[in-house]
Amino acid sequence: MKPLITNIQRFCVHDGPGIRTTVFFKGCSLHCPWCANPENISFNEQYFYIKEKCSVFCKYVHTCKTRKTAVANEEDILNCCFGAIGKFGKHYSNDELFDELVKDVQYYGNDGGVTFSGGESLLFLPYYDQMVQKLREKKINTCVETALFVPKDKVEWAIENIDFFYVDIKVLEEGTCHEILGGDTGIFLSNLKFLYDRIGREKIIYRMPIIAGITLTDANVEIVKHVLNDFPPKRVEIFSVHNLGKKKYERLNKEPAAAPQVGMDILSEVKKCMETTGNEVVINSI
Amino acid sequence: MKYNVNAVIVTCNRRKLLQQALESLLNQTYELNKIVVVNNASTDGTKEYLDSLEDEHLVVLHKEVNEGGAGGFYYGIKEAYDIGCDFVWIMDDDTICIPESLERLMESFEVLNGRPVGFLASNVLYKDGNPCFMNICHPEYVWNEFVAEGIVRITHCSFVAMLIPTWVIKEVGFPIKEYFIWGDDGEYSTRILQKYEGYLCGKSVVYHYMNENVGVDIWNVEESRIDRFFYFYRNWMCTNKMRSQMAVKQFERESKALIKSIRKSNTSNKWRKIKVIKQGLREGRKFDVTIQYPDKSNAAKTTNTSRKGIKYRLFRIFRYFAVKYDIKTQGYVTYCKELYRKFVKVEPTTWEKIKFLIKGGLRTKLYDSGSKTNDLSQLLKEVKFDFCESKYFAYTVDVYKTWKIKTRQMANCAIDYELLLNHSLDDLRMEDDGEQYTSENNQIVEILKEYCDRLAQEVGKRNLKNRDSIAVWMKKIQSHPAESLEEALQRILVMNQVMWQTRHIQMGLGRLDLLLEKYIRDDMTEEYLEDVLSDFIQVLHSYYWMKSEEMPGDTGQIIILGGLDANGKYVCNQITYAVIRAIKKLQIPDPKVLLRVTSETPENLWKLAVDCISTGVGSPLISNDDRIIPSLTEFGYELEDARNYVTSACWEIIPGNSCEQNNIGVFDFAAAFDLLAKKEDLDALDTWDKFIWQYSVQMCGHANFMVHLVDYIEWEKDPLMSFFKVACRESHTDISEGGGKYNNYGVLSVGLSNTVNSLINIRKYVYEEKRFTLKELYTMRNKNFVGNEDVHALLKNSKKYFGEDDQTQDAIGLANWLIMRINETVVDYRNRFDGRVKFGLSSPGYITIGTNMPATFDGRLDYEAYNVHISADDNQNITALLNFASQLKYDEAGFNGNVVDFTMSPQFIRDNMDKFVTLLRASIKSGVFQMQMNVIDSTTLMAAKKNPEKYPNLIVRVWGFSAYFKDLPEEYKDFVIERAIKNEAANN
Repeated sequence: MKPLITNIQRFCVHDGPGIRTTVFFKGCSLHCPWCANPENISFNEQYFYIKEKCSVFCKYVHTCKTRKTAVANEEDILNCCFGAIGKFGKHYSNDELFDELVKDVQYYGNDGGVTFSGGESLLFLPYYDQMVQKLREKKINTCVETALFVPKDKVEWAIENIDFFYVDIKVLEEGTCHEILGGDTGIFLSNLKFLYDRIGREKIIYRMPIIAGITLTDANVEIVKHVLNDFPPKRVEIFSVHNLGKKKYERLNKEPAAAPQVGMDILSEVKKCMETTGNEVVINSI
Repeated sequence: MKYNVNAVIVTCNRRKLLQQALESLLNQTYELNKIVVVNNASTDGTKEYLDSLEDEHLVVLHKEVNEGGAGGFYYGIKEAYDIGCDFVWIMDDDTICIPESLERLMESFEVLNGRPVGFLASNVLYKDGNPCFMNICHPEYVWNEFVAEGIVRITHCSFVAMLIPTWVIKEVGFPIKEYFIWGDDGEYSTRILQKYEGYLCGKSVVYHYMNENVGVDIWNVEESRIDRFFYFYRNWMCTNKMRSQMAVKQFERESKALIKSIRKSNTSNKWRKIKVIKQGLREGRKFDVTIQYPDKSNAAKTTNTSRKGIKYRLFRIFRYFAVKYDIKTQGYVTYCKELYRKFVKVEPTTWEKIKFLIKGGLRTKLYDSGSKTNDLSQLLKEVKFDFCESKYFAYTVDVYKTWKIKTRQMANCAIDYELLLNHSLDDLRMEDDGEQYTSENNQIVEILKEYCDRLAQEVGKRNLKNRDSIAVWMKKIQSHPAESLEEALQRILVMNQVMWQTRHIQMGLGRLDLLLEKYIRDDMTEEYLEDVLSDFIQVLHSYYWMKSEEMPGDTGQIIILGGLDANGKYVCNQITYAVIRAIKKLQIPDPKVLLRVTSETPENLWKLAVDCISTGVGSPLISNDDRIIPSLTEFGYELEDARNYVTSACWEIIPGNSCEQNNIGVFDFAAAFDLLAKKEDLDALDTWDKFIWQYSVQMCGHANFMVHLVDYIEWEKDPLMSFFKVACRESHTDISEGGGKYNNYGVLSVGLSNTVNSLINIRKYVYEEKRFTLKELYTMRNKNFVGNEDVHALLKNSKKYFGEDDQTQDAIGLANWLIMRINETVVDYRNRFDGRVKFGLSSPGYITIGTNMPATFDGRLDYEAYNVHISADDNQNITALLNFASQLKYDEAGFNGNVVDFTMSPQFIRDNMDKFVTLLRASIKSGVFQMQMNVIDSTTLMAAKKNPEKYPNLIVRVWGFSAYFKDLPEEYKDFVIERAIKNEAANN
């Protein structure tokens, strides 16, 4: 199956050092209910429908199935002039993606570069091996965001080829993780150990969403603290989830997950608690 | 295209003629939909005749009472409108058409495609074929645009054969039925012409079967018809009343003159005539009518045409003084009006306005003796000093006094300030060789010396903080060069205030850091420099309202910082930093700063500049020497002059030692869409190549027209400006006679972005996918896509390639090709001083021109603004925009200011200062010409629009200057808000 990409976002300032271009891959090994990019969970092309853009002036207003059912229909996409129906997911070849990523090369400077996000970017990156090699030849910094719920060979590839890792830490209790995210914590832990042993502390940053009742439970925080003790990273970033993905859920005709936002006070508490492991913890405002 | 046309005939007791008229209508080659006949209570059997006719086209209205022509046309047009049609064609019962009359009119309508046509009139002939004197239409000032097609633009029209589109009727309403007869057509056609254009189609002929071919005038009128003049005077009085008080006054004056001459003459029945006129005028003053609209909701908006508001009353007071003191000088009233117009933009309270009017009315004086040096001498002798608050300097402009400008005065550039810094006034004296220039030059030396003496004296009398030093400096200016920083700054202020005093608008301050470099002493601390320069800037900010030209903030006082020196080394010094720091701290929109940068610009200067930008003050505008100087030398400027460039009020480059006029006209890339439809057969353009070539031909024609406008400019003789320009001093020639060094002129442009996006859409949908033919697309566009909302959405939602580095549609190639075609057009042009023409891609006209132009094919609807300067239409992919801008062609003649304009939220810049500096530096390296930023968030803007009093100091960037948001016209406020919202949508 060819990898699909939903978005290539340029002039990103939040996904790592310097000015970066972020690639969002489509497809994820987990299905976190708070996901802000629900279009990147499924591995297949998906059609979406933006109700607000749909207009009564459309010629097909009476025949359009999408309008009737509010579920995007592939047949209607060509007829739609109003941009109400669209498609998530586009395939790029190695060269195409490379061309897109070097457009901003003059802005990357010394520390900026490319970030691969998703979805689970590690699942797809080995396919773009050739492209990544070309980036490395141009000395463009590369960075992945991963949850590490992937086969070991992918991690091994990444260790060889990627400069920097953002590792998501979510739910590490075995039962809950399987139930809510659909992931096996054993894979995560063994991958983390494997990665950590090979690249060391300076090349890893952990990111953790704080969601009351899911990631923010006493048991989970305890396990996370253990992980921080065993594999101390360069930095830990914690943040409260935002509901920016809500519109996208609607467009995909999915129920948006109600992930309760936590206040700054709780974040500071978590920060304090985690700092007891001797790591630097910062609160991300996004 | 076939339109539905309903004809309207009003008849009264002329059965025979009516019969002929109806026949001529039924015989039209262009078939009519309905013919509405209004029978105005005829008694000669017309009713029976009409009832006997059985034709499906006929609709007959019988009126019990004769309501005159006006009433008849009112009911007739209303009926025709209610039946439904695209056009209403109205005429009298004695109007006989030839069979092609209507067809010719409709052909003319097609020719006028795209013009806002309000009515079309036929050529009215008397039955013997001579022109019908009663129905002569007068041509507009510019009447000959379509004369090759036999179409002439006219100023009014009679109801004898007039074709009106129904959408016009919908907007302007019906004729006024209360007028009974006479003046109803004049009123109606002028009402239409307030918003539309009227044309006479020479090929469409109608005959007016009157008894005698005579025009009507009160001198020769038959006795029985004298009473009819009552209606004439009553109705015109009423019409003028709706127009303006000025028109009423005018009409009264004319009528009085007429009465007087009738009284003195020996015409028959003269007392009766005078009585009728007087009666008419009297009635007219009392006569109140309301205009009826087909759609009731329109009515309230437009009936209130009389001007009785406070503004008008203030104007009356103002005029009273104007008239009392100096009625003879036409320029005086104009100048007073101009001052008042500027003043009310920034000062809304009534009391202040009244105070201003009284003061202005009494004090305003224009000097016009025929000799410029005499004017100047007189002016500077009499100006009142009104020093503004300052710690270090004296600065005063008497806004009410100035010299008269008869034609057009050179301005909007910079004078050579170093002349009076490095020399004294005595040094600038020239050896008398009998030439006019030298004698004027020496006179100006004397005048300025006298002026400085007066300043020195006055300063001594006033309680100025630094008065002793200022008095000394004012003496020293006459015999010594400037010696200290403060003295140099004071000299610049004196030159600046003299320029303002003589209405040299929008004069820049030059390269301030370079000018002042030699006055920097080691013992000057950062704080001291910042303090002095803050004071200097604040002083320049005074008289803000008077200095603002088109809009508050448009003062043109631009300080140029940084940039290469004559040896090609990057210059920046303590002054550079201090000025930016001062601007950042003061948070005032004027004067503004342009920072010249190269790849050599130090990181900390960049940081300071970005820091200043992030406060939202709008300054500095960034200008890329690495890109600009090579294009200047390539164009033909000497390297030293190229390196020493400054700019006009916004961004238009003025190489050193020249005095160029860079804002002569604005060229509209998108205007060719209209021209193309007018001049070419759209069906014949069956391939993209043919289309784009013809497009460029029309575009170049338009460009050529704009360029040749320069030929007609008559420059005002200007010994003062010539005094301060090195080039003029060398050539001993006045600036108005080509004394400047290069004498090149610049035009600006708008609409490139909309044009490129439109062309790409046309290529895609017309020539590649063949969804519509070009003609179909034009037809939809001419109706502003009403009824074709889906097509409009398609065009609007198509990806906009201008400002994107997505190369799939080669937008950059297309844009550069258009630019190249313009270059080809202007390359050979030489003005009378052998100067050339240059152009730029950014112009202040994006709203004013856009709101006068019909829809384009990129989703922009009728009369919407164009995209601003070089900017992306919707999503703000900033790196893509900068990449795109760096690939545009700015060489050859295309260097007259090319600003990339984007919006950023202040939070974003503050959080990512270093990354933002990296972004700007990299974009300069890759070749962006110039850029400016609006740092603002939409929430603040919207709150400020709602409650302006809570945000008195909020500054935004418009055109190429900064302004207080509260002072902006509403459409500019909305425009800035819209762009901020788009930016936030794209970056979140």
